[in-house]
Amino acid sequence: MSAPLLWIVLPGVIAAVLFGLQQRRTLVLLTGTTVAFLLAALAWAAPIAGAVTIGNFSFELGSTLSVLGRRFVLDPNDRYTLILIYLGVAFWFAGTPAAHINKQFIPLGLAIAALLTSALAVEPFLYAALIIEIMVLVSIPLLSPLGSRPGRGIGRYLTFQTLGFPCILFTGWLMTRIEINPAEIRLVVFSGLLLALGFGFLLGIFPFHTWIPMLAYESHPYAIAFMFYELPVAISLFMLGFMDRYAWLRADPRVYLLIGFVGAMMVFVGGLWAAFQRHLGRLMGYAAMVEVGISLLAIQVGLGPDGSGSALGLFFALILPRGLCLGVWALSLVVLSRGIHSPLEQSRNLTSVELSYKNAEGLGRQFPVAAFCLLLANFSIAGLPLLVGFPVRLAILEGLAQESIAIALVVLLGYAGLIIGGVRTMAVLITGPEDTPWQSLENRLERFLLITGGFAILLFGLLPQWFTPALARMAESFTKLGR
Amino acid sequence: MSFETLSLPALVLVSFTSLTLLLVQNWRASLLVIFVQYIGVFILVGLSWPVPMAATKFFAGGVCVAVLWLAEIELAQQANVNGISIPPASQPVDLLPLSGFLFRLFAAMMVGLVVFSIRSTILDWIPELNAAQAFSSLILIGLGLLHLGLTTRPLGIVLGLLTVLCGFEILYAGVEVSALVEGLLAAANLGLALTGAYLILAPGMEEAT
Repeated sequence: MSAPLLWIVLPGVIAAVLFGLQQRRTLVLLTGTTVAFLLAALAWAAPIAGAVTIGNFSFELGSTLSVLGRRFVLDPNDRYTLILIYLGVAFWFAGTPAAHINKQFIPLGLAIAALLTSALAVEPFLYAALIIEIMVLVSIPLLSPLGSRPGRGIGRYLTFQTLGFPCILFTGWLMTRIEINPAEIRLVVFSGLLLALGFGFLLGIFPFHTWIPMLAYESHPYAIAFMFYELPVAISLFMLGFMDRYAWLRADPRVYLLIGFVGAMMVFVGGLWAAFQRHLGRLMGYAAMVEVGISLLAIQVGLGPDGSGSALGLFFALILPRGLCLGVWALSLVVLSRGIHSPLEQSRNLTSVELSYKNAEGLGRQFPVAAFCLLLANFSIAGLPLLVGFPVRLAILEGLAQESIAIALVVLLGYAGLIIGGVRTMAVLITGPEDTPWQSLENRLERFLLITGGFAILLFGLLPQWFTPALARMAESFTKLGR
Repeated sequence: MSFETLSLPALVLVSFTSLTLLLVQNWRASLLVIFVQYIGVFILVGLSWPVPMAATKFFAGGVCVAVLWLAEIELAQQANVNGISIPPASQPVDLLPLSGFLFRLFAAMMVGLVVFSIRSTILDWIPELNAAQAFSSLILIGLGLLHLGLTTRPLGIVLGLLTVLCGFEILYAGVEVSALVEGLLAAANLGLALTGAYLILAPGMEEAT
């Protein structure tokens, strides 16, 4: 038995089986959630590259799986990443009964988790670019389900993500050449540009970001929020793998300067557009852009201006707050959309299209729990104190301010934009016709999930020490960065 | 078997097919043209790879074309039998207006000029490639990108992406020989075709509740 077999092949096979059983929604929900949770628990308990003993039965959990002459390797340092991947997926699956999402969500979500894990494990790690592309292709039915017309956003998403991976694959080859002949400046510049272009496509960096708000507008809020959570994690881990692998890239201060500049620009641009947004779905899309930006800034601050820093854990500490906030935000949007076309029409796919400010006026009076949780998630991503997003953002902003006050101010302006977007949303949700009575139309399950999520946002905000040390240990997967 | 003698005809072939893909709107013609394009890609990849491995490009391409062909036929049947309206973005348009045709032709010529000017740089950087491979890969990438910029139909997007990938695969074949990477690239191509087929057919299909 090998670890890749357990955390890549097994969930992949189960995903295929669940895809065939998708008509049995309860069975799929229970199986998918349980499997994801068990895989997370196994990652916690089972020693990778060590002996596992169950009663009298004992076997070694190897770290390597060979396929077509290449290897998939999961070593003990990857344990925390595995826990995060599968616990995150279990969290998203658990919310599906209230999300009114298409039946493929759990099978495809599990397949995406397996692909994400394989992207982390494949050697040579460059092939992860291809695996991420396959992950993107698997996500298409989630974002554009049967019966819905594919919008322009899905076309751009597919195009940009597909254009990204050839750039990355080719850069990998160029970098091998640079290692042999580092004096070839033209090659260094070209590979740097190609690498930036590749990750620009994959992460949706300005000006390749247009698919983010478009998909947030035309897709199911829960499905797109799931992808806003999973995709940047996969791509960012891949990017860190690049820096970990190539010494010249790791040691070049211009790389960190570029990452910092791009990150600040994403926070500023996302925040600016959020401030002027008039659509609840797109607002979440711009928040996702801000999250991409702050993740890049966390890498830059964590590794310092010359790559000698040792606080890469900052980047990983952002992942849990992001998943929690996006999940709560998306679920709130699903519940609020019931108020626009209520009762929920089973015959058609739910999307964010109708969640404009105009349609959402006064919805907070009918769905106060959903409205409150949506604002909580929005303000948490905007870094308001006492909420889960605050502690890590504070640390990042402190680090940024020590390096450059100007960049810290630009980032603060971006967050101010996101806060303004939240305040405008609050005004829209509460302000309505005077005769609209205050009531709570959420059903029991929706209320339970939203209150639990909202409570977690507050609790983890007050007690960040509960999750940050464990997440920060994920940085151990990268043996050379920040050491 | 050596493909050296066939490299120039293959270059002409892929240049012609990628230009035709840009100018032709009819789905049958487009799919036939891209099928022929895969023959050229097979020859150009065969310059760097063993023939059996290079042949996977052709077979994967053939399967991609078959998948998209079946999807388009199914779409037409949906429209005829069930009376389901085809969304405007998916409706096949057979002929471009003259202005559109000329615009695309001139844009393609500009791409050709750019490719002609940078081909020697690519040859400097990747000495493993020959001139036909470098030129054809850049033409395919350039015209594929142009195609992507001019279409919003799912079929057009997928054909544009497959063309870009064809160009990249010729380039990458010169520098990397790996069964796994070949398998993953074939999977990406097939995945793109399946995704294209899905996007073509999804509007007319209802999710069972």
